[in-house]
Amino acid sequence: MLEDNEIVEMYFMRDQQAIVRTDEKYGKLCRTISVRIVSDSRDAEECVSDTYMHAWNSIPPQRPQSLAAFLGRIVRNLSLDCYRRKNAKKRSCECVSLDELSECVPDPREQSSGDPELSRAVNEFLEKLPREQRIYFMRRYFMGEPLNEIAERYGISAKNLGVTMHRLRERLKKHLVASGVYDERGVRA
Amino acid sequence: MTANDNNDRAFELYRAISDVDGRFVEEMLDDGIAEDIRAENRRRRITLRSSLTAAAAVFLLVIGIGVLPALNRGISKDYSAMKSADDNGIRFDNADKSFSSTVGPAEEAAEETDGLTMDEKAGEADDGEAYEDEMTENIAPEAEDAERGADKDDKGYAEAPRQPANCFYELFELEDGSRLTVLKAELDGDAVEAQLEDMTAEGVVICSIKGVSSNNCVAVFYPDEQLYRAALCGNYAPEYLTEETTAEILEKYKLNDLVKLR
Repeated sequence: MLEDNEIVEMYFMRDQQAIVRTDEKYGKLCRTISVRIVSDSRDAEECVSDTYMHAWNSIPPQRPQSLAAFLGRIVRNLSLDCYRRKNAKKRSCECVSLDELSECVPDPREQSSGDPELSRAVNEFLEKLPREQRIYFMRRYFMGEPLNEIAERYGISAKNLGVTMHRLRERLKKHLVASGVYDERGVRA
Repeated sequence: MTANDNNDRAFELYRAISDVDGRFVEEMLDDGIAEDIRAENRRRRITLRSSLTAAAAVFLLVIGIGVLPALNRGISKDYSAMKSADDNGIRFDNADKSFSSTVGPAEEAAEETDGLTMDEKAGEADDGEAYEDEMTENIAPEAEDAERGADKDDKGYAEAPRQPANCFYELFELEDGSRLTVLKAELDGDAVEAQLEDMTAEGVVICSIKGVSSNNCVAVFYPDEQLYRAALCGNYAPEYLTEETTAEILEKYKLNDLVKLR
């Protein structure tokens, strides 16, 4: 398998093999993330295809340091959009004009989730965590892995992991309040 | 704040996690780090198990130290009661045969034979060959005793013990709630008794024979494993227990000390 920088070089050279190589290396990761969010393999496959397309359009000019993080972010955001769209349709309260208007704003999916303050607070929180707990957190909330899979992967009991995750959520809540993202009542500051 | 607001905020946060630093994603996907964490968790599990095992062992040890003496006391009490019950049976047998008897020389000889037979049986049942050997040793001096029977009283004491005999406990509950154990035996058809609390450290007592007009015999109770057995040392009257006769008894029975009772 090619190294990340070699694949990125292929994008820069506009070599379409870049997408094949990307799929070879990160296809499984992207599908896993997506299917855990949208709970549908066909939707997930669509999200992954869109991810490659977004990556093709974004590189260049971007030169991601970590292709995994870059692709993960895109597929996650696309999958969350898909999830929201499907749920909104079920509620029948989605306004078509909103979709139209959304085309007028820059596409944030390969850039950021659009809330830099919250993202910064989450990054600070992760930075402070011990490596082991940070990995548990990321596996759970970035990858969307079930607790028992994480527990098995790292040789810890699911019960212990559940307790750890509960404490992590409590810590994150305190951190978000302390960093001013939310106030004491949980309202966005 | 509605449930929808909460969901929106959760969604917002979930989306914000997409923007985490790329190195956190790399770290999460790194197999080497995963192996490190697995090893660390394995080590923790082993340490925890060892600690728990050690703590359990200490706990059991502490409990054991605390409970065993109490258990032993309980066993001791129960055992005394058991011996008392067993020996009561013997006592009643003996009572029929000896406590009520007024012995003449011929009857005495017959009773001696009875006693020997009974003891041999008891020895076979309870104590095995060792006790049988002891019985055999005691039979020979008895024969000598019988021959010397005529000059016993004149001499003041006999050189050899006459007859080992059955021995039993009687438990008395005193008014203050304490228990008094009285050791009783039938020796040559005479009843002898001693209180266990008067025993020496070796469990040996010497006492006079009750109900004998001359009151000139002494008995030695000595522990034989769990049962106490009695031996009549001859007609060592208390007034004859000089240093010399005491030494003789001690040597004969391989005892450390004798205590004179009442």
